Amino acid sequence: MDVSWGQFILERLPELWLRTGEHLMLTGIATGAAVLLGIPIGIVCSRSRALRGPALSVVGIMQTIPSLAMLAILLGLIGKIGALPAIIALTLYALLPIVRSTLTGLEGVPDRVIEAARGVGMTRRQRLWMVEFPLALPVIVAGIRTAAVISVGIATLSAFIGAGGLGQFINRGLSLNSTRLIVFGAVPAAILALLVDFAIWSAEWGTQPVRQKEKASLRARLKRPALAMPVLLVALGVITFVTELTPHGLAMRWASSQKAGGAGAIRIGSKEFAEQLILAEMMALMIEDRTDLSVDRRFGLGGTMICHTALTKDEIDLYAEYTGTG
Amino acid sequence: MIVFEHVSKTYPGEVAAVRDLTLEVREGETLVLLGTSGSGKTTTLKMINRLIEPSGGSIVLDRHDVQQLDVTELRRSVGYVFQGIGLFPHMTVAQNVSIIPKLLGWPRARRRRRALELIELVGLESGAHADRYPDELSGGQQQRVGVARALAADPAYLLMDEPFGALDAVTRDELQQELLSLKQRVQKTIVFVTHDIFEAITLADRIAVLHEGRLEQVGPTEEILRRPASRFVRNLFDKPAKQLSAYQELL
Repeated sequence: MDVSWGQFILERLPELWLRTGEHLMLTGIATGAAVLLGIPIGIVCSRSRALRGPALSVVGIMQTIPSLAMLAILLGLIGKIGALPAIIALTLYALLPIVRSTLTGLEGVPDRVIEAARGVGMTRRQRLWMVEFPLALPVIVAGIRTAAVISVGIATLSAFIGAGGLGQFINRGLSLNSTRLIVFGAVPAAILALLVDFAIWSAEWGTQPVRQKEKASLRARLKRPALAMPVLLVALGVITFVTELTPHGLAMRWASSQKAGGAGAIRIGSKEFAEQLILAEMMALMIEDRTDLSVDRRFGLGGTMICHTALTKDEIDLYAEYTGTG
Repeated sequence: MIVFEHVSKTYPGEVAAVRDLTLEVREGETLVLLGTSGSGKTTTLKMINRLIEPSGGSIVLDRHDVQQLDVTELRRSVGYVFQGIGLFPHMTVAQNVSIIPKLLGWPRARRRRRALELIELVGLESGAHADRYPDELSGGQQQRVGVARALAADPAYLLMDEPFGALDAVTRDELQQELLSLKQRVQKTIVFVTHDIFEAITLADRIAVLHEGRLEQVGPTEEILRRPASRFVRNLFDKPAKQLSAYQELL
């Protein structure tokens, strides 16, 4: 603990940048997928009483599976570590709030407005898109906000299966018994959750109609830029994700983990603590030094079970294991 | 011309709302369907544009059985003013008024022109009101927009379901007078539902009195007042008449 907080943070800023990008990518893709899936499911539920019960139960049960168990199950099911199982898990968690809010929003449209829509001669489809959906939108967006915030939180666990993100710091902190590292992962994650929530709220606010009496006001003029808030967030995600502000090693690690690990590449795994990282790095350096094989470093996996499953599912070729630890 | 022949409507598990109704709405007239709540007057009206499907009998609109017509085309061709207004809260006044032209695929500029013209026709200012949202208008103004919306595609028929029921007496009177003057300018056949006897007398060319789903009497306003066909019809008009004379005595 002889390093000051300032220095501690400064040293890790490049990695913080990278992890924030990963985190935004994971939650962004998952929330987007959940919106694309959840809104149609919600619409179907509102149209068909027969499908509503089963659909809501299935989506609800997803929510009750503990996150770590969900990741382990997905790892076993699809046999991959990294971003894919993490995104699938996050999508499944995000479904419930979106389906629910779509259903609630559509059911909340007043009967007399629906009758008016029928009365002016709208078809079922026109009624949905011209009247019911726009009126349900504020409720649906509230559901999307909930889903996105939940996703930012749960995405911290994705580090366990090598998907990166801000959870990487938390994991490392847990393994190294370092409160500072845990805080260094948790606080940015919390700030990110608030930002995401604000960005989506802001976009929804931007779509609300401008009333006559506030036409010239500052509020009215802010509405257009407010619409663009989520775009800024996505842009931030993309920029942090692709820029190489990271130290060379980190960039290499990321680049190598992106490769499919084809012929001639040895994929080395490790758990997330100093001794494991050192052992794995030693193995990697020796292989690179003494053979013409390349090494795909898949370090920082969340424990024996994840490492072992990755090994049996042919996602990594070797990692160091020994008896006597947990 | 709208012709009801032996039309009935029974909701599942309830007594009949409309029983064996035979009635004719003549070209260019204003026919008021008058009755207490539960008399079947709104059901009768909604069966014309098939917001409610009849259980039996037939309704013929300009020699076409409405059951044979495409239901969305039928509704777009008949103007409908809703009880409790029923404007779309997320659309501006102009967008509300031009919704049927939009569904009919009119080009944008023509829709806008038509909307502004109608907003003026119902006594609002197109400059001040066209781009407001319904919740920025008073109840009376909203109902004017409702009338404008029903007139947008220039329908031959106008169905009005207690359109002024939720308004205060002064505004209601104002709108009734304007509807009368509107009638002079646009040739429409109007079917108007109300439970208000004075409204019926003010607006109707002919009145059809409904009671518990049956047609009690139909005829010109004067005839109904002078020669009520049943005790129910006499009582219906007697009570308000007594109240009115009591009021005059007080003065």
